[in-house]
Amino acid sequence: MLEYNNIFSLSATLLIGLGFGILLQKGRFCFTSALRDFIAFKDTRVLNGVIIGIVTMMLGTSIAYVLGISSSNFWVSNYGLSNIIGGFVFGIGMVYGGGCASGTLYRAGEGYIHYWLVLISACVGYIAFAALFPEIFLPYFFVPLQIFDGYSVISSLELFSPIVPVLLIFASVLYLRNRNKLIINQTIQSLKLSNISSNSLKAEWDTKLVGVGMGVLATLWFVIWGTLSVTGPQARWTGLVYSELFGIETLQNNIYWNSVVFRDGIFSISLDMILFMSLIFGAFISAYLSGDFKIRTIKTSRIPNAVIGGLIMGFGSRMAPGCNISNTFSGLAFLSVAGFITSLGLLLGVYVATHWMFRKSGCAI
Amino acid sequence: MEERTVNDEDLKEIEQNAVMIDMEGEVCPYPQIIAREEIKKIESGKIVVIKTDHVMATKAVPQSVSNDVSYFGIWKSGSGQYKIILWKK
Repeated sequence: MLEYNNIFSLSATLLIGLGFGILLQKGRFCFTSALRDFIAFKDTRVLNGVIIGIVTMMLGTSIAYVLGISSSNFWVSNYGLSNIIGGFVFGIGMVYGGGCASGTLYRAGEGYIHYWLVLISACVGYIAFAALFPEIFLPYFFVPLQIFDGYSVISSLELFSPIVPVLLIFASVLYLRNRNKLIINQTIQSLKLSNISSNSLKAEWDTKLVGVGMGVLATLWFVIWGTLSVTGPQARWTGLVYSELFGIETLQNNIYWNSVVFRDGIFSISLDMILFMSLIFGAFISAYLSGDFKIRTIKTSRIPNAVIGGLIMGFGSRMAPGCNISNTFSGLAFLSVAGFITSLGLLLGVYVATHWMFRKSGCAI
Repeated sequence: MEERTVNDEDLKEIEQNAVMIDMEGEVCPYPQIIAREEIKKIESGKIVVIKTDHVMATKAVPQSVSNDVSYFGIWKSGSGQYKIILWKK
């Protein structure tokens, strides 16, 4: 891992964070709506973008790994029933709170008080979780449920890992061409720079292109730092603020803070925490330039959604462990078992919560 | 369901005969839920205009009512406010 005082890695982190913020904002890149639209309305537009992003990241990170330029190994969490339960809880929180981990983050940059409240509530959730961890979650949740050592296809193939994404891309191009859904000449034509007018600065960007951009940035991030995650650095910010308020001993005396959240036991600002902040700022700049920025107040009647949704997401992301970005995005890109199980739980949670919320207006399933 | 471009003048005319719903301050999935409820209430050929400041709603709302709507339009203020116009089939 590079030192964060290294000026190169610091500037790269700031730029990658800005890039993520801009892409998420311009693509309206929302995991909740990707899953909800797919479940409720059979709409795959956003989901396609997410899948393209995952495959791009798989290709990029495996090549970076083979070339030996990655600064860390693939993040492969241990797994068991704990992942499906954590993912399920997180999925419920996502739908009820109105956004996933990444959606909440870029919308905070767009000026929503609602999503700032979700973010803060999730942080409160982390503090509560850490307090309950030694007595409750460790002995009764992780020890009996998280029983298998982490496994990832990409990681286990080591130098042969790029074969998987290359085969996946090859197979999907063949499949789409056969179904006449992909006309190569047209696709190349549409990608030409001359087609990008000044209007596209204000307009929404195609989710598929945003997906490719996300995959490329996630690869650069893998080279500079490691696996892309949102709730990890969010938990570390929570810990640092908490220790400023209540003293560093509160972190040192709690096994969750000093061995899980801050793995090395050093309580300082790390590059991923800078990326987290930079992402919010990137979304702000993008929203401002597109005419989408506005300080949006929250309706009193929706405060429970933000607070309870945020708390549920906070607990879910600690139980899984990880959010939609580290599991569904990075986890699936590494073909990690934990990523698949957590994503399955998340899908179930989104399914159940969507059905419950649309119970009166009718869910189109 | 096709998209129609809606400029300021079109909007004035449309709003005179449309059912107006103010969803400002609401985020997903409430704009979709209300849109689904409102579009069911009105007669065929009528128009619903949803006023919102939720960016995602401009995408999610038309999609959520795609079965009942023949055209939709998005009007943008340029300062974070939008109107979603839905023409019922």
